[in-house]
Amino acid sequence: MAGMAYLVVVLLILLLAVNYQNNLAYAVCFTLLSLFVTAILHTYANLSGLKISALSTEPAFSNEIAYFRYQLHSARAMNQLTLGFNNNAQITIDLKKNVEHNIEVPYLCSRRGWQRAELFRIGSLYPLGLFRAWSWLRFDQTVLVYPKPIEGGQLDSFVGRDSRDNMALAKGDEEFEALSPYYPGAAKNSIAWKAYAKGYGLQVKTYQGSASDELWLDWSLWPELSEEQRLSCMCYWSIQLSQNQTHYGLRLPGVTFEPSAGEKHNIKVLEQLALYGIEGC
Amino acid sequence: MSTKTPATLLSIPSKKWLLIMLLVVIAPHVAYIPLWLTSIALCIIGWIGISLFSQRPELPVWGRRLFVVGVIAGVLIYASMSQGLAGLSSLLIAGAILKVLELRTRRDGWVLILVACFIAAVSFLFDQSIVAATYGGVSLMTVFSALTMMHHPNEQRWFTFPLKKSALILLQSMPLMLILFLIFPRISPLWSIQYNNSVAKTGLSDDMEPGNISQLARSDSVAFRVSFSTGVPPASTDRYWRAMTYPIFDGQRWSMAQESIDKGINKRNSEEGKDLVEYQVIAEPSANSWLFALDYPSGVPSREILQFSDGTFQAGSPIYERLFYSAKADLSGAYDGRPLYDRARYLSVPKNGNPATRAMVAKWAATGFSPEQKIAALLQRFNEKFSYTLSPQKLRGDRIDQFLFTTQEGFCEHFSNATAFALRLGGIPTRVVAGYLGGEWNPYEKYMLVRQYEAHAWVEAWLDGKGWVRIDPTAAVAPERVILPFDQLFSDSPEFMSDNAFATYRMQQSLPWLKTWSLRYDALNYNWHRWVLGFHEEQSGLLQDWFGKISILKMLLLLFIPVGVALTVVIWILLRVPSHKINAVDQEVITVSAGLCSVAPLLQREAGETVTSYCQRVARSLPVLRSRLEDWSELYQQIRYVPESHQIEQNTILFLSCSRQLKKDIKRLKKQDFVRGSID
Amino acid sequence: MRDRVEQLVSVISSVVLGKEEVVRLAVACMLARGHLLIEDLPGMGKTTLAQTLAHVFGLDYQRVQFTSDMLPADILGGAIFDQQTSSFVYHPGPVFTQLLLADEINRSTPKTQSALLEAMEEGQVSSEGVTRQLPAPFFVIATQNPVSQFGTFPLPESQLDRFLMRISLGYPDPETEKGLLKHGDTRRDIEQLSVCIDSSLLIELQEACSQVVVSDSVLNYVQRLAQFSRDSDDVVLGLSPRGSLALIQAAKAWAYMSGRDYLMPDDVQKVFGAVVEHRLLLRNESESGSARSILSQVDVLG
Repeated sequence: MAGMAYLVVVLLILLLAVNYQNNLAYAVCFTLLSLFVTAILHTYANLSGLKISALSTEPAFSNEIAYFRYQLHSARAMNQLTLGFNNNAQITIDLKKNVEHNIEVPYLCSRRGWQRAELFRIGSLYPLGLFRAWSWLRFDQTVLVYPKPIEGGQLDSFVGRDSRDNMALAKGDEEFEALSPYYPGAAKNSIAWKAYAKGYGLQVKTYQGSASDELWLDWSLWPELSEEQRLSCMCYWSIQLSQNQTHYGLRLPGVTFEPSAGEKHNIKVLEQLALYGIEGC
Repeated sequence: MSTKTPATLLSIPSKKWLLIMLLVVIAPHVAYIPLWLTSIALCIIGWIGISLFSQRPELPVWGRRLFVVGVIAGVLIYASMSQGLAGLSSLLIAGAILKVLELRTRRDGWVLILVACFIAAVSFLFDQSIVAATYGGVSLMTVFSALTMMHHPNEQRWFTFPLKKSALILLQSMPLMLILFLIFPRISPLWSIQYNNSVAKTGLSDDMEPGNISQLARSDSVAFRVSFSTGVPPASTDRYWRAMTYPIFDGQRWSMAQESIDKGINKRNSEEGKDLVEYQVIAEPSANSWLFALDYPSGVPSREILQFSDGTFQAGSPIYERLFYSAKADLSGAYDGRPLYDRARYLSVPKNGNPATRAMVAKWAATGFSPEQKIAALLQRFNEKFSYTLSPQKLRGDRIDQFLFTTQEGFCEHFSNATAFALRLGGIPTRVVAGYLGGEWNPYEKYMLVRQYEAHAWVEAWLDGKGWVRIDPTAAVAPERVILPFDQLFSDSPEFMSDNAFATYRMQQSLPWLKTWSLRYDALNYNWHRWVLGFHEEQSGLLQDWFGKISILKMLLLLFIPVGVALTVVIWILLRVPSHKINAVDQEVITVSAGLCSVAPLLQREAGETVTSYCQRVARSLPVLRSRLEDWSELYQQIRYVPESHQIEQNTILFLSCSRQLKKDIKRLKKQDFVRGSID
Repeated sequence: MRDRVEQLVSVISSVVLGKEEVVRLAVACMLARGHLLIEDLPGMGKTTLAQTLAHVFGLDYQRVQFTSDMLPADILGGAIFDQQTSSFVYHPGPVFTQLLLADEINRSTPKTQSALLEAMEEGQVSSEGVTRQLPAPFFVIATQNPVSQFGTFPLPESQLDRFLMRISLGYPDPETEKGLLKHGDTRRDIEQLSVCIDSSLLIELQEACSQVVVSDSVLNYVQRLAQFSRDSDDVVLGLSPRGSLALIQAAKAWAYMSGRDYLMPDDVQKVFGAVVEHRLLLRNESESGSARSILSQVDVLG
């Protein structure tokens, strides 16, 4: 647009020059015209020689923004590069020469599962804004999108026991089963202190509990909800339980994760929820 | 993009630049736009400028609208009343400053930028001097600085960065611009425009009354510039420049006749073509249409110049811009044998008046003088008794009588007036010619500068068998007027040139370098006028000179080859990965290594070899150089590896001289061939 | 002070015969406050060099022979329950010394190795939630067998990085070996060697080394070397910024030992192999001279 308006002004000045036989006005006209051409080169050069490599991405939740990470590098300084996916926020950066720049390009994820990186555009109006140099890029890049965590559904065995101590009790003063290595956040009264005093290090007693007393995120917990809603609720609970360092397991049709705790377990569960029912998992 | 991106807001530095740009671009127009507009512009720019630094309350919307409507109305009224360009520039400027009031988005910035480009171009319609052109370049630079800033909003060096960038882009565009300027065909105006510029009428007037020309002696402004194809000026006695002839005499004043354009004049002697002088004239704007022809014109002048049978040229319309034309002259002024038409007109004199003159002429006739003798008698009379002055006594009544018999002093116009009258009484067809005599030769650019104070009037008499013969009575009175430059002749006369110009003139006379510089400056101006401002006149000739006959194909080649080359160079510069510069001291090492390599290939420095170890290696092979190499590498170390040493400059000098010695030694070694054998 | 360094070098060389270059590197490493890794086949005099260094520097030293059944506590020390006071009492391990001789470090498990390496990096030991400062100066001189030897746990790259230099002695030249055979084992002489430097002088020397000035052109050179190693196709993992920092640190010490108070590319080149080689992960292991090939390909000028 700006470029067209510019050309119109150049044309007007040319008319002025022709009608007044004014060579300096001609000169202005030609200067503007040559500048127009030089600007093409400058804008092109501002993008030419740019190296982009894709970096790993962090999973995101559905309907939230995932960040695809890229590393930019150029042997020349480049200014005002605008990057972004279609219909998503664009980011603008300046590159220094021979410096690696890591950027995160936002992408709004609409549904769970593996989200492939779409075409994304890198462009620049620099230096004069007369032209836009641009390029579409597609990287073989995917990001895992978890279901959107939605608070809902009653987790009977959890709700109603507000304190963590109660929770630990819930796990049962049942029959002692085995010692397992300490994990951060294990309830203090489940630690095998005697073993610790003997110098065996921190270990946790685990008990054989009855199934009904364990926390299970079960597919059949909320028959009233639709599939996606169930997944969302399970996602929510998984995060909640994991924050409380609770042991919980996951039961989906065809998949069962034994109860465990910790961030790794949470991620495993979330992954399973994200990919549930989606081809290739 | 399918979504509409939100409007990009302008950053504060971008706004600053836009305001700077407006100030710079508007400045040359101040003389042509009304004062109230200038003050409003300053107020608005100042107000917005201040509000960039601190938050100011904004004008209420209705107030702003009222203001906008007021300014627009004012400008429209002004534009409709004023003629032509002043109105245009006021409109543009008013538009620009009103846009400043709502300078918010990048789009607003763009509007301002484009208007500024146009304003910058319009300013050249008012002033085309070198200074104006330079200023125009500066304003374009500010325009593009503002544009650069707009598209790089978060640059920290907000002042220097866009300046450098825009200067770079402009510089890179220059080759292309010059090519376009040279090649682009100059079209004649698409529609006629009245170009009513305020050029005061200067120079000769359409009629001659005593006093008219001496008035001109007060002006040192330039009438025209001439260059000669041979590069050599005609002799000072041949520098008669015809502007007009005055055949009609009413007893008081001589005036022009409506001559018809005479196409036949070129038959005069173009086939003989022996002593033709070809010249090119750049006439200054004079608001008159007559032009200057070297006496006596011959052949056809360049297009658009009308030629009259009395040997004068005229432009088609009054000259408001510099006019360029070329013509030829035959200095010998040989008679082409054409008869005199309308003899009566050249003999008509009033019935009465000036009895003494009539008596004198009657006496000549009684003596039986031939026309030549009559002329000689008159000129002799002038030579014996008359004096030449810029400030003669006032004449009343029978002026010619009074001049010839009482005051006996005067200026060229008095002499030619009296001469023409007397000769007409004596039955010789006569006319007065007004023009210029002389000119200052500029040796630097080889052209002649003719100023208003060189205005002159002389007489032409028709002698049967000889045609029109030039009679310059002034030459009879004061031959030095013809030979000497006019300014030397009259530099003591108080009437010569107006007071302030005279002071400058005096200074020039006493300081020769000042004179030289003023000549050089005028030479520059001349070239400027001829090659830039008058380029449309020169273009076709120039292109033909360079490239022969112009065809479409040639034009396209001419356009695309240089443009392609220019663009390739620019893109090469742009895409070049900047490589660091080699330090001068390191460069020495490279040179020495290359020198040693030519002695023996093994002696070349390896990439990973430090200077110290390299020198040790070379010293082992060439023990002759050992001590010098040791000094050399020691100095190198001191310069390159000891930071903050106070002796770096001194050491560098030592190093360079040591290096020079070393290179000499190497050269000597090279001559002694045995070295090569001993190493390889 | 420099004479003392020279003296030191000559004293060590009287025990470690014919290896002055390596000895100088080892001393430079100590002056640059760096830990030293000596890598060679068994019986090449690694331990002799380490012991000699420890002795002549007059440092208080401990020697630990690493074995595969060693635990971190064997080095760092640990809390022992005191029956009388009914509380845990911390028993410092051998690491609490000025110079730790970690013999055959690659014989121990990675767990133990990393325990030591933490101490090297931080200069402190954290145990049972209490952080204990190690004495200053604190050096680790580790020896190791080349990785190809059976029953060893190679140090990972990240941990190799903590050693300022890795040097190897190599076989002695025939002349030296003959002398060696004639004199018998020199290891017995170590105890008789005079102590040349005390720890306060050592700290002074270290300070002096760090005062060596570095000009821009040398910095550029080091930067170019690092960049080249990163860009090179033969190198999987180039020189880290810590690596180039170590390079300058070591080169400064070398420059100081060479009697200069400014750094030259020559110094950088001298220490380059020892500092850089163990930090690079080469694509092709057989290409032994990679450090040398980098040196030969990067222009000193510029």
